[in-house]
Amino acid sequence: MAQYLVKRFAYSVLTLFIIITITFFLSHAIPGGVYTTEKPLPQSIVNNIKAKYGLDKPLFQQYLIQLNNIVHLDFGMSMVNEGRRVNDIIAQHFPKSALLGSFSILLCLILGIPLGILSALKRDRWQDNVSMIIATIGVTVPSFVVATLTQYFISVRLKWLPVMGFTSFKHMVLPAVALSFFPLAFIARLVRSNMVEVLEQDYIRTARAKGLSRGVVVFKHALKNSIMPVITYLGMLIATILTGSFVIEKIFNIPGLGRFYVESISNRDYTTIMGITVFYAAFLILMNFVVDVVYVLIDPRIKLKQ
Amino acid sequence: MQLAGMQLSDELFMPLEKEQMDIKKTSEPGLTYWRDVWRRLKKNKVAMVSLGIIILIFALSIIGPLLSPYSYSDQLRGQEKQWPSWQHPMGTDSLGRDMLVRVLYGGRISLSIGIVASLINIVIGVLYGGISGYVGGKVDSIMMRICDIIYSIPLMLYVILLTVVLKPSLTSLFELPLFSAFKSAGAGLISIYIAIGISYWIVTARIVRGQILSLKEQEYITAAKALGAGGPRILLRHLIPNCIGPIIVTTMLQIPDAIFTESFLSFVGLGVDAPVPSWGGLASDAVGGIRSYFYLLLFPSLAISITMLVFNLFGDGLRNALDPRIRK
Repeated sequence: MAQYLVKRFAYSVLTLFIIITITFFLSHAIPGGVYTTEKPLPQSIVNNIKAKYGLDKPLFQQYLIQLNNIVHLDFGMSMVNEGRRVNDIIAQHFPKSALLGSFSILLCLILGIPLGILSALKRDRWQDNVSMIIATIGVTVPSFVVATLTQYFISVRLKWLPVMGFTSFKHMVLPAVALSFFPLAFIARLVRSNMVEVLEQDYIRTARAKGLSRGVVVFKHALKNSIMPVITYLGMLIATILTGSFVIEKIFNIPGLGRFYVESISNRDYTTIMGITVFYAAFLILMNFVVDVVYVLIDPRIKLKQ
Repeated sequence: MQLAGMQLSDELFMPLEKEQMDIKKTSEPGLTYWRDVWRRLKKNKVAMVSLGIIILIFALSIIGPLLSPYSYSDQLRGQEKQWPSWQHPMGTDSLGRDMLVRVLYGGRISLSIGIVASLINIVIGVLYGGISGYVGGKVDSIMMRICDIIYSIPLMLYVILLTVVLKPSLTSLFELPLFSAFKSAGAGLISIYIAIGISYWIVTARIVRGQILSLKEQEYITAAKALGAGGPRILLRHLIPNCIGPIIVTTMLQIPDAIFTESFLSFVGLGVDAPVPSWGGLASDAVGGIRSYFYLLLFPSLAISITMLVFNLFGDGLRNALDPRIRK
C-alpha cells in the first residue's frame, strides 16, 4: 500500500509539472499581451509594463521563475486586476465555487443513486422507464439551457427563488440544480446498470436462498457493490462540476472562480490564467488521488500488483 | 415402410435428381458481417427512428438555408425581435435576422464541428492506440502512462486555452497568400475544429489499444507475418479494419460531445466569429434577453438537445448491433 501511495503521488507531481509547462507555453503563445490596448501604447510604456512583469526576459528564464514561484505556492500578481495577488483572488473566489460545487455533488449523490436503484429494482416497469427518460434528458440537455430555463420560469415568472446573486441558501438552489443535472443523470444510469448486473450474481441468489428478505439483500448485499463505480466516477464528477461552473456562474452572476478564469483568458492575464489553471489542475489531481486511494481501501477485490 | 405408426412411402428414400443436389440453392444465402449488423439494427426501433432524425437534421441544415428567402446575416429593418409568425417561423433576433435560417445555418456549423473534430480525434486515437497496442512492451506502457496523465487533466481547460491561442495565430496565418483559402471558413471555426479535435482522443486510443492487444494474438496475424508483411502493413491493413466497429461507435458518441463542447465555448465567449451562427452561439446570444424574447433561446436549445439525444440513442443502438454479445 505504501509503495502504491508513493507511486501514485509521484505520478501526480509529474502530471502537475507537465500541466504547468503546457499552460505556461500555451498562455505565452497567445499573441499580444496585457499591453495590447485599443490605442497602441508608446513603445516606452510597453517596455515598462514588460519590465514590471518580467516579460522582457527570455521565455525560458520566465518559465524557470514561474516554476520557482509555483513551488513556493506563489502565483504572483494579477496583470489586469491592479494590485491583486492571484493567491488572494483564488482565496476569495474559490470558496464560493467550492460551496456551490459541494452542494451540487451532494445533490447528485442523494438523488442519482436512489433513482438508479429504483430503476434497477423495478426493471422494465413504468418506474424504470420514467427514471431512465429523466436520465436521458439529463445527459442530452446542456446545463446552460437548464440554467436559463429554470431561472426564467422559477425565478422570473413564479418568483419562488431569487434570480441571481449569491448571498443566501436560496440563491444556491437553481445553480446547483443546473450544475448537477448531467452528472445526476449519469450516476442514475451507472447505478442502474450495475445494480441490474449485481442482482443477477450468485451471491445474491445465495443470500435470498438462505432466507434473507429482499430489502436486506438489496440494501446490505447488492447496494455496496453497485455503488462502487460511482466512487471511480467521483473524480470526473468533480471535474464536470468545476468546468460547468464557468457558464453557470456567469448566468447566475455568482462571483466564483470559474467566472474569473474565463475573464482572465479573454484579458490575457497570464499570471491569473496560470494560477487558476494550476490551482484547478492540482485540485483535481488531488481529488483523483484521494478517490483512487479510497477505492483501493474499500474494495477488497482490488489486489495491488507488487 | 413404417415408423412409429407413420406411413412413409418408398419415394422419400429414392436418390435425388442431380440438379436438386445443389446445396447452395437449398440453404439461405450467407450474410456478410455488415448485412448482419444492418439486420440487427433494423430491428431496433429507437435506433432507426434516431437515424431517420439524424438524416433529417443533416438534410435540413444543408438544404434549408438554400431554400430560405433570407440569408443568415440579412438584417431586415423594421422587423426586429418579432415573435414566431408565418413569415418568420422562429421569429427574428434583435438585429432583424430570420431565426429559422440562422438555426438551420447554425446546424451546418455545429454539425461540421461535430464531424470534423471527431474525425481528427479518431485519426489520432486510432493511430496512437494502434501503435501502442501493436508494439506493446515498454513503448505500450509509456504511451499508456501518457494517456493516464492527459486523462487526469481537465480537458475543458485546455480546449479553452487552445482556442484562445489558436484563433489569433490562425487569423494572421490566413493572411498569408498560401493559406488564404481557409480565410472564408474563419479562424474561429478552424481553431475550434483543432482545439476540440486534438483534445478528446484518449477514449478512442484506449479502446483501440484493447482491441489490438487481443487481435494481434490471432492466427491470421501470424500468417500475415509469416508471409512477410511489415508492422505498418499489418497494423493498417489487418488490425485496424478489424476494430472498425468500436471505432464507429466512439465516433458516433463523440459527435454530440463535440457539438456540446462548442456550445459551451460559445457560452464563455470563444465561439465562431459573428455573424456566423452556431447553435451554442445562438443560445448564448439569447440568454441576455430571455425575459422578453424566450423563443430566441428555445429553438437553438431544442436543436442542440434533440441532436445530442438522437446521436446518443443511435450510437447505443449501433453498439448493440455491432456486438450482439453485450445485448441484454
